Amino acid sequence: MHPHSLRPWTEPGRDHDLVLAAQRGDLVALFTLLRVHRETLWRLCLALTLDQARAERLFHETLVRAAKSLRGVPSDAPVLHWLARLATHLAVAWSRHEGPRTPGEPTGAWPVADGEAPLFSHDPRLLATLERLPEQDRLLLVLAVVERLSYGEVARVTKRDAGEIVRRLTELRECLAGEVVA
Amino acid sequence: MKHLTSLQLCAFLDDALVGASDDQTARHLASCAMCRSRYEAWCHVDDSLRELLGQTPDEHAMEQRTSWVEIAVSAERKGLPAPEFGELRIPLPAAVAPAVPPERVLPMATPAASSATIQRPVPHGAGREFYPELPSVMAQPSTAHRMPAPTPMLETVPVGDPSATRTGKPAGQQGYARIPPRPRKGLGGVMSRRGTWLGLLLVVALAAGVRLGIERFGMPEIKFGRRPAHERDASGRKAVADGRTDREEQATPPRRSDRPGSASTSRTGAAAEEPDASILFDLPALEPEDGEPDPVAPAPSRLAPAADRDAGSASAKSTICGEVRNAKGTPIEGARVYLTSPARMVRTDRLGRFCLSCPSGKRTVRIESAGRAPVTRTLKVGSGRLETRFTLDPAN
Repeated sequence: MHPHSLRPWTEPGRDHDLVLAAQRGDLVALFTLLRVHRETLWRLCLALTLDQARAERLFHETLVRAAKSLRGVPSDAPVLHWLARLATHLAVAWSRHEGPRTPGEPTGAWPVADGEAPLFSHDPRLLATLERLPEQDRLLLVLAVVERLSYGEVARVTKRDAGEIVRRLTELRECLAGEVVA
Repeated sequence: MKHLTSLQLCAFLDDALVGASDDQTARHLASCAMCRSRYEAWCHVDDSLRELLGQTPDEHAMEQRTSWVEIAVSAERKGLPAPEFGELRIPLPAAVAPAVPPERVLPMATPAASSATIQRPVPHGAGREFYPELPSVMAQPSTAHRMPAPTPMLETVPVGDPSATRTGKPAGQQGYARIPPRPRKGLGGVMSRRGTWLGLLLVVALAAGVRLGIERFGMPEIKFGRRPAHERDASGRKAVADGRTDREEQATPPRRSDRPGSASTSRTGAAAEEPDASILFDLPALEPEDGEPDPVAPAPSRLAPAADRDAGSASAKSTICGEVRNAKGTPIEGARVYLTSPARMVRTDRLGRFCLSCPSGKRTVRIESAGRAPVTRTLKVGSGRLETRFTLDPAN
């Protein structure tokens, strides 16, 4: 059970109080805030980068930059929305700067399931299709499919129109289904 | 039969349909094999995505990553250079790690070997003592270890460097080396260097010395550029005259009244040391008016013996005054009037007049003015004031 909020994407919970305390220089409040959302943010980073090593770096940089720019946290929304947008912006910037991951690029130690093969290796077609998608589309998939957010909540997180969200999700599902079935 | 649109299927998959729309879509999927197969394909994609991207992160790994963030944020808050992510996440080479166990004490080495480095594992949460404001939650050991033993971090340690111990412990005690801070950049880096402060101290001391010198000796006159020819001639002649005067003064035996400590000595010395205003400021020398005492001339000392007073009266100075005009009778201003012995020079004023004090006797006066032929005349100067007139003709 989530120690902070049962629905961190929709319910701010104690986020606002922790942000205010962290803005006053309370490191304990800041670290508590970061720990509350670290698992969700890690999943986002993993989906945005599709690479263990890059995800670790993105996770680190996102939290460090979040600690630096706490004054920009909107007070009317959960902190997780702001963290997700920050991670996406960083991932897009790095992707533009460094380029997509090449097949020969060494990756970090990918987490294994029960000591077996890495999780991503079982369906290379899906992974290859995901790698071709931009970071914003991967964020949509994670929010709608993995985090099970509603269209309105996805629209609030990504600050996009809900109709546009539905249309893009439909296109992405058709694309992925076509690649996997083929 | 009308099939489901992609938007309807997507909305049904995401539970975005409610009420009658949801029921109709469910009934259509039950009856339409084509839409059902499409729906199943999309469900398979969603399941794969959840399996790929929705995995629960390992608790220990998350603890380690959070510790890196907390170390970086704490360093940032303390004003220290925040370690880069690459510095925190140092992979462990398998061939080097077993060589030095964590409990082993690094021996002291000779200075020649101090440049060598080894790598050794860093315990979890290393560096925490440098950031005492880290909350206690960071120090809590992770409880769930679903993965095998994590890869320990390595840090590079100069072998035998006693300053490398983390808490300043002497060699021979167990301790971990501190990762040296990166040099700061920008103004902070410049101000943190010792040489910058030494240079600033030197500049301040130099400025204080210059100020003290100015207060003690006054502001020196600084002239830029090349001076006019007549000023160079005047200063050169003045220097010659000063040399002669110095030699004459040295040849003259000191009088009794010139002994150190006497009031007359200080007064006379002050008068002798006082520079001539005409030399300093290129102005015509001030000559006393008729019946007015000469401020430059030393006052006669009442303590001087009679012989000295007689000698002083014998060498009483006279005054040569005159005016310089051109052939039309117009006064010439700024003409240079030279007295050969003793060597002196004054300039004529706006009315073309000048005055020179000199000892009585035959004196040679030379008048020079730009664009005019110089005139030299020998005058017999007696006691008192001698009035004369010079007329300068244009130079050929």
